[in-house]
Amino acid sequence: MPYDAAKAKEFDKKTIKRSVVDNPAVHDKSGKWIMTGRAEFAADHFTGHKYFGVAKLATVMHAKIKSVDFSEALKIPGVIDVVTVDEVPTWSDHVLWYGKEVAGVIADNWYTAIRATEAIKVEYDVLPAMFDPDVAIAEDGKDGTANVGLIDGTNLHQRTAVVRGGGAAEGFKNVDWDFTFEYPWTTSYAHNELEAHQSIGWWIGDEAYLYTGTQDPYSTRTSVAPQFGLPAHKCHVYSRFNCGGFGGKTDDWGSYAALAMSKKVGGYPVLFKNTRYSNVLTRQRSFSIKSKIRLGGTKDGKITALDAVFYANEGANTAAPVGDCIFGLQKTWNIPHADIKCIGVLTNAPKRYYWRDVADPPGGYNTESALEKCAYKLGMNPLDFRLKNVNPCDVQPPAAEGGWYGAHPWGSFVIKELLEATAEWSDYRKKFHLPATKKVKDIYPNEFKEYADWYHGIALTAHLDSHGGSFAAARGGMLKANADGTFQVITGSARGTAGGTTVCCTTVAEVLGARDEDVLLGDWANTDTGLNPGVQASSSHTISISSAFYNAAMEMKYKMTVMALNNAAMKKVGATKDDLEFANSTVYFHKGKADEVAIPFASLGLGTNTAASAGGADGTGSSVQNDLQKLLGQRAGGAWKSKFNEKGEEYIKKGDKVLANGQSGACLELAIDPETGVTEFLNYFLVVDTGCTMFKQGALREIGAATELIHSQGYYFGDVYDEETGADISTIYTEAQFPTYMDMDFSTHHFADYQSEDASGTFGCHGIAEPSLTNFCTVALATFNAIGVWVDCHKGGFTPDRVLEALDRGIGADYKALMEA
Amino acid sequence: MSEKKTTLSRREFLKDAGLVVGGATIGSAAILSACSGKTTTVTETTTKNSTVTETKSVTGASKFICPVDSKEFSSLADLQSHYAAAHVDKALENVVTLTVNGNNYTLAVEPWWPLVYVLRDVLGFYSVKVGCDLGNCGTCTILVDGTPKFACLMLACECQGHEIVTMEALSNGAVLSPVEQAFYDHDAYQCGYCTPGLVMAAEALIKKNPKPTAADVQYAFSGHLCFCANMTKQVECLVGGVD
Ligand code: FES
Ligand code: FES
Repeated sequence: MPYDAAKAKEFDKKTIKRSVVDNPAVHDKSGKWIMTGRAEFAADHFTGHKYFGVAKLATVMHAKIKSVDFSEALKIPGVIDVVTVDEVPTWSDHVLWYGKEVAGVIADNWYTAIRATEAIKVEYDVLPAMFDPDVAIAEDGKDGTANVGLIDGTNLHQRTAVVRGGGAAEGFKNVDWDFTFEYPWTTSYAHNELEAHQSIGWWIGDEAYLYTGTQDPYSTRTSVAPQFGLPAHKCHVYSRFNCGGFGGKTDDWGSYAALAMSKKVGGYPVLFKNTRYSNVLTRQRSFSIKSKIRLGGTKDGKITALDAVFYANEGANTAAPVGDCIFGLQKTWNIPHADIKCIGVLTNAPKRYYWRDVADPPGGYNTESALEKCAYKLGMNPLDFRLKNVNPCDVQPPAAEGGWYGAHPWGSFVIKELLEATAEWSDYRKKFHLPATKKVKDIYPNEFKEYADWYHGIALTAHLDSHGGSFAAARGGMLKANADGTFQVITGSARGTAGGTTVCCTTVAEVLGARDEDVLLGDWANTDTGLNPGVQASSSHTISISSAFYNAAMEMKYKMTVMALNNAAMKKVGATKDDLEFANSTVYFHKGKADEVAIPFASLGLGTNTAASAGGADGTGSSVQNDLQKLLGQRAGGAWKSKFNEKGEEYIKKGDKVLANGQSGACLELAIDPETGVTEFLNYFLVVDTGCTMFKQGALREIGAATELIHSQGYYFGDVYDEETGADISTIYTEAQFPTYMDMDFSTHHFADYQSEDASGTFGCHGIAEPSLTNFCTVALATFNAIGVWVDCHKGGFTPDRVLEALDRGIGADYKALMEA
Repeated sequence: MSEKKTTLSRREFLKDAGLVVGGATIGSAAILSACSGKTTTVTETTTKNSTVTETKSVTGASKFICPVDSKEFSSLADLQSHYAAAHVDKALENVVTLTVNGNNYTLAVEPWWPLVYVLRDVLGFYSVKVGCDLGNCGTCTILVDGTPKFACLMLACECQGHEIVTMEALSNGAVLSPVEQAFYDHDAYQCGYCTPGLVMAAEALIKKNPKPTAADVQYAFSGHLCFCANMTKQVECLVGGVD
């Protein structure tokens, strides 16, 4: 029976009788696998029937491989074979950073393979290298041979350029004030998930198979298949579980090597696996930026002109997603005339990729720092300054007005509300003071006695999350009915975090009137059976994949209705489609008590039915997607309401372009001991808009996790490299010396679920916590507010040594200089 | 340009020590034949209470060399019979019996094989995960005689006579153990990679201290990392005990 959207919609007349929000019965569908040790990660297969592959990594930053001597490695008992860079797609004889693959070993166990890589001798023709991004900028174009080696004759390339109104030139013609702020390179962090990258590749005939640790099995297939000369249907990728709840597993790094190595040994399975150290060298490290931000405006504190340049260290990756770092500045602040640029700087450092929270942490740090200092210079409370300049809501101005939002409309934009809510909860206005003017005892005469004479600092910011704007694949959902009346959701989505697969199941259960326990996860994260769910189906993209399942469930319901009406008992009572009710995994007819008919789904004969649907590309605003949002709005307590902009125009109405996003506000209060430079958090308030999130438990859990990550991002992460060799020497990463909440006083962390009435909020939960992470900039701002000297997050966190170094200039010195400049 | 040698890992050190102390470490686990750059390997898999030898010819070797006395053979079968007859002492040298989840597994291990490798890749107990392989993260935690231990820091050959318990033994998959149920009910996991290690540590804690305080749980989890930053929940779900 072909899907008929118009007919199917007629069946969507049921009142939602329960809310899944906060319903403890709705549990993470794939959680049972985890809780019983049966969750299969990439390496958990082929017991005793696989070989082990390891890569030898370069020990120089920039070179051509001259020769490779495998003879000693091959003598080691247990070594099966070796591979050269010519045998593995994506490997090459051009070394661009310390840690790039230069050879590989296949052995009968992993430890032998590691040992054999040590025995391989590589000779290099060493080339001039560029590790320091400032040198890369300064030297650019001076000497064609001294560039990084990725783009002829240059290390720089423009990544993003946005012009609004008449641009900066026009804007600065008529301003009452004109300030410029510069920030040196921010630090970065490595995603550094606990599961070091691992992939098992094997071949059956000319078809390739992969178990691999990726969030995005579909993209793995489409990128891996052509590299081996295969059509996509001959490359089969499975990725059910993978580690790293806050993302970071989107690359196919190990897949090529696993398949190439397996090919070398006749198709036998090869587990290609990183050591912890090689994982640090070869996997994602986020990019860092430096900036120059010029702001101008009117006497009342309105910003009317902006000229901003961000330089982004991309490492040896021309496609690093650095252009996104302007999003916060571009989307959140309402500035009529602006030029914003991002310039990529190529260096011989490991390839740089996304941040958690996609792009905003370094961009947010730079932007918020400039705004904070600007407010001080204008004599305004930084909160009032932000409220004056924040975009009121997500009205999308027409292209004729400058296309400020470009190709990335944002579906949820409650930053203003979050600023106000966070201020109210934290009592920010009462506690705010000018830099270096208050001790803890001045604010808290009866509390925090141990820090009474330490300086008190406070800062408040709010951010949106870039998730949702970066990927534009169509989403698909597939639903299979079983003879016993249960249904299987087949997502094609890997589980990197909780929520995504669960919300798909919940959507189906709601639409069909099935019991939650009757909607099961099918063969998910399998490119052979699932449809493309997009990069992170457990992220804000959940709205797209959920709308696909909504659509598939509607088709299934239509089929079930036809089957129910053909049932003899229903025929006997003369039921029509309008008389049917789907609930509790049963189709009911109950016109009058005497006529009641109840047909369990298991008796409908549904066993051979499937339904599939594509959810539409991001932002297409399909009517199904909007219906889903409406449905979810009702779930969240009848909260679906039209939103109106300042002109009284309705936004997010049917047919609008919408994307799911997350946003959060944060207020940090800290105390700093000027003698030792030690900082203690007094209170950290985090307010996160969870919108109409269906898997609320997961959302709350992730918000709690975010506060831990913000804390560790502020104090522990850092770029620690040996600049001579380019080797990463940060023990946080190389030895997994990662801080946890047990290293922090967690009683100071408070988080709130601010459930905005905006039904286009995030629907899974992964995307909800990430926008919180940009708020690590509050550490810099509150530190400045406490001691009046600026501590940059350049190469490291806001640690006591760095605070003391800044304090050498004297308490309040930078604030004084700022005001006098 | 020649290469910089990186540091010697603890395991490599042990392996080297094994080579010196034990002479040929070939044992019975892997017989390698190297001939003109081509290699052929015999791998051995072990099933419960017995050892089975399985061969896989990989790159078409033309001859088979005994790794103990370097005698050459034209077929793998000949090499195997020679090995069994001439080096039976070596074959038995590294045979251990491991007791895992109440069952005995007799198998040959190299003296430098970590327990985590044997549990996962030889015996198939995949609930045991590897995070750092360095003793830093707790992901590989199992119970040895009721005490939580990092399986990446133990050698399989040390474990004969000890009771090893992995997460596979806690439930049959249908009914969760009380500790597992507490984790599940509190959503004390995200990706789930660190979870088995934490659950095993929690099992040991609850057995010893059925009503732990937050400080007790934190102490028990102090060697563990969760990169999904989920430890608030992981601690919270155990405070006051599990039903
Ligand atoms: S894998 Fe054993 S402690 Fe990390
Ligand atoms: S739940 Fe992912 S590492 Fe802990």
